[in-house]
Amino acid sequence: MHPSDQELIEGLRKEASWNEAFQSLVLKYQERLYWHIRKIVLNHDDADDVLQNTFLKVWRNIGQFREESSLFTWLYRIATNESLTFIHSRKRHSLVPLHEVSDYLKTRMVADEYYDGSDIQKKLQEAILTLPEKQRIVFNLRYFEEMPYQEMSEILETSVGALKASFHHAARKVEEFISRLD
Amino acid sequence: MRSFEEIPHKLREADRNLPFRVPGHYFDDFPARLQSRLDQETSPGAGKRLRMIDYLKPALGLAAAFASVFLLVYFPARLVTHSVTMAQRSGTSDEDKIINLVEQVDDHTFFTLLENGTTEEKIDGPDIESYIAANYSDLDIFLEIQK
Repeated sequence: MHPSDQELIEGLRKEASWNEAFQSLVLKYQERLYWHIRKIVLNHDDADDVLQNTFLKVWRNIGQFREESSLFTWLYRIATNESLTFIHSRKRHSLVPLHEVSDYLKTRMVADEYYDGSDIQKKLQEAILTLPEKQRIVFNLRYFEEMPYQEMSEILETSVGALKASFHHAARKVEEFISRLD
Repeated sequence: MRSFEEIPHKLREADRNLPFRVPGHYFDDFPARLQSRLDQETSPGAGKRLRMIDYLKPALGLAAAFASVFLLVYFPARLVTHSVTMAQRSGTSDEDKIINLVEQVDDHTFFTLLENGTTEEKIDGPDIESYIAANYSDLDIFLEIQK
């Protein structure tokens, strides 16, 4: 049983319980954050790097957490930003000239030994890769994680209305892409 | 909760499992790996441990810069001075040529030549005739007279 976010925050405020609280935070959120990151970077090794970077950033900045948002929202925001930073820095340093971020991601996804599934699952991922970056994140959070728009709004710092429109466009595009493949 | 109306029909029916896996025990091992990275970050002098090459890098860089400047200046300068020297050598004056010739002559011959130059012997008509007969052909003589 994981401690509540409030218990974690209180533990992180005291020096005596800091280490234990941080360990609990990692155990509680590592899996959720990993899958959120993996859906953005698509490759396991990259997701592992980003997850470590995310917790490192949390570890450094937890003192600045002001509870203006929930701990969960704050962690997701860090993970999203770290994922996007990671992708753009890797694309810049890629030896192969790639015009789009999606080209880089597709190359990394297909090369990953931990990428396997049914044809329809793979087609869906290819379809999601055709979406613009922000739409891709919105689609993943809504379609796979069933996250409420209000939470998404806090994580992505975008209005609920804009997120709804973004998801609507994304879902249509994904459906069209899959229909063309059939 | 998600309202199904917002999701197109085809996507509603699609398999929502991801085609991604993780290595076995990945989530069991992750906290220990993260802790090890955090320990590295927090250890005194972490990321600041300098190897010998780090100490030598500035000096090597400076030396390489000096060497580059030297090579860039020395070789073109050497080429220019070499060509000037060659030009000076090939353009020797008449005076130098005379000196070179004189130096090749031995002392006895040199003094003999000097004495011959100072003789006050007079050249008369038969001598001139014999000199011309010995050194010029009849045609040369005829052409000289016609001028």
